[in-house]
Amino acid sequence: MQLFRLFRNVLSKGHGLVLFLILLLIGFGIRHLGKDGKETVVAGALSSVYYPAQLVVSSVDRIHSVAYENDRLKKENARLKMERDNLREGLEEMRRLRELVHFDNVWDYSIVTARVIGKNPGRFLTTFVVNRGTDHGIQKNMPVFTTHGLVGRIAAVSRFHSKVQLLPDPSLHVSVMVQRTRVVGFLEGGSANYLNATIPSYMGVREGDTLVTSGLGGIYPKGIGVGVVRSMHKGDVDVVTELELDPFQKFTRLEEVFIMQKEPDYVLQEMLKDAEIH
Amino acid sequence: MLKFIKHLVCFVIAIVLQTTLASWISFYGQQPDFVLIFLVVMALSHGPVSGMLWGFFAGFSEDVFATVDWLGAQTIAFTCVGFGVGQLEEKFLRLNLATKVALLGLAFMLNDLIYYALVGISQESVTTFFLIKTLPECIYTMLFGILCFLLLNRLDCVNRRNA
Repeated sequence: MQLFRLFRNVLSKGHGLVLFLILLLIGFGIRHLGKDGKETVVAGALSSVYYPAQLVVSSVDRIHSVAYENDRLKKENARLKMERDNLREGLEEMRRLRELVHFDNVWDYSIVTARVIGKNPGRFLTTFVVNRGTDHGIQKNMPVFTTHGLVGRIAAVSRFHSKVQLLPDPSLHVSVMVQRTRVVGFLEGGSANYLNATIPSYMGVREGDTLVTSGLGGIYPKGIGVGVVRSMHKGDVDVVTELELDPFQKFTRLEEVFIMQKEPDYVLQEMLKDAEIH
Repeated sequence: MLKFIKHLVCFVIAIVLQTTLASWISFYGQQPDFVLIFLVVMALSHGPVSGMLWGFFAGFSEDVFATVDWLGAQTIAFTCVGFGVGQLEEKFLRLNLATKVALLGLAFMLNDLIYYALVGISQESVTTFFLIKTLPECIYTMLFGILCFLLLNRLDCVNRRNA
C-alpha cells in the first residue's frame, strides 16, 4: 500500500508532469513501432480488452437499426417486386449478349456475408471490424462490398474477425474507371458523404457520370459501382481533373457486408506497389 | 474503486454515444465528439493526472479501431489535451459555463491540430481539413458541451442539497 502511495506521489509530481512525460514516451513508442508491431498491438487489443466492448456497441446499434431496417425492407420489397419482372427480361437479354461477346464473368467468386461488429469510435471514418476471419476463409486484401457498391478491402485478419479499410480512408488508393468514357483514374479517400478521385482530363468527364472499379489494381474485380460525379475542378496539373463523388454506399449505415473471396493478384500488386494503388 | 467504476461507466457511455448516436445525428457528415467532452469534463473535475490517464486510454481505444498506420496519434493527442485542460482543475479555479465551453472548443482544435501533425497531413490539407471538418464539428461538439455542463451543474446542485 505504501509502495502504491509512493508510486502515485512520484507520478503526480510537478502537477503530473512526470506521468505526462511517461505517457508521451509510450505514445511515441507505439507511434514509431514497425507495421508488424502495430498490427500485433491492434490485433492483441481487439481480441482481448476491446472484444466485449465491440459486442456492447454493436448490440446497441442493432436495436436502433431494427425499426429502420424493417421500414427499409418494406420499401425495398416493393421495389424489388417491380424490378423482378424487368430483370427477367434483362437476364434473357444478357444471356444472348454473353453468347455474342464471350463475356468474361468476373463476378464468379464465392461471397461471404459478414456483420459489422465494431466501428471506429473516432470522428474519422476509415475502418470497421467484421465478424469473419481466417476461420471463414477470409484473407487480407479481399474486396468488401454491399448491394449498393464498393465498401473497401480487408486490411487485417484475425481468426474470428477482420478489419475493413473503407474507401474514405485517404491511404487507400483504388483504381477506378468512368463507366461512360472508360478512362481510368484513381480514388483517393474522402469523407463519409463524399469521395475524391483524380481522372485524366483528355477524355472529358461530366457531372452525373458513374465511376466503377477498373479491375487494374489486382484487388477489386472490374465493374463494382463506386459513386457518381457530384462536382469537378482542375487539378494542380492541367492534365488531370479532380472529382468529388457521391458514393453509392452510405458508410455510416453499414451493418452487413459481403466479402468476395477473390485472392489478390500479387504480381500486379507488386508492380503497383510504388504507386500504392489497389 | 467505486469512483473509478463510475468513471469507466461514463467512458463506456461516451464511446457508445460516439459510435451510435453521433452517426445518427450527423449533419452533412459532421459529428460531435462525445469522447472529447468526457475527457474535458474528467480533466476539469479531477485534474491533469486523471485527465491524461483517461486521455491516454480513450485515445488508444480510438486508435485501435483506426487505420493501423495512425496507431498512437490519437493516444498522444488526447493525452496532451487531458494534461493541458487538467491544469485548470476546478478544485483550484471556479469556471463559468461560457469559459468551460470555450475551453472545450480550444481542446477540440488543439486535439485535431496535434492529430493532423502526427498522422502527417500536408500543410495545405490541414487548412482544408480545419475549415471543413474541425471547425464545424468543434461548434457541434460545443453545443453538446453546453448541454453536458448544464446537466453536470444540475447534478452537482442536487448532490450538494442532499448532502
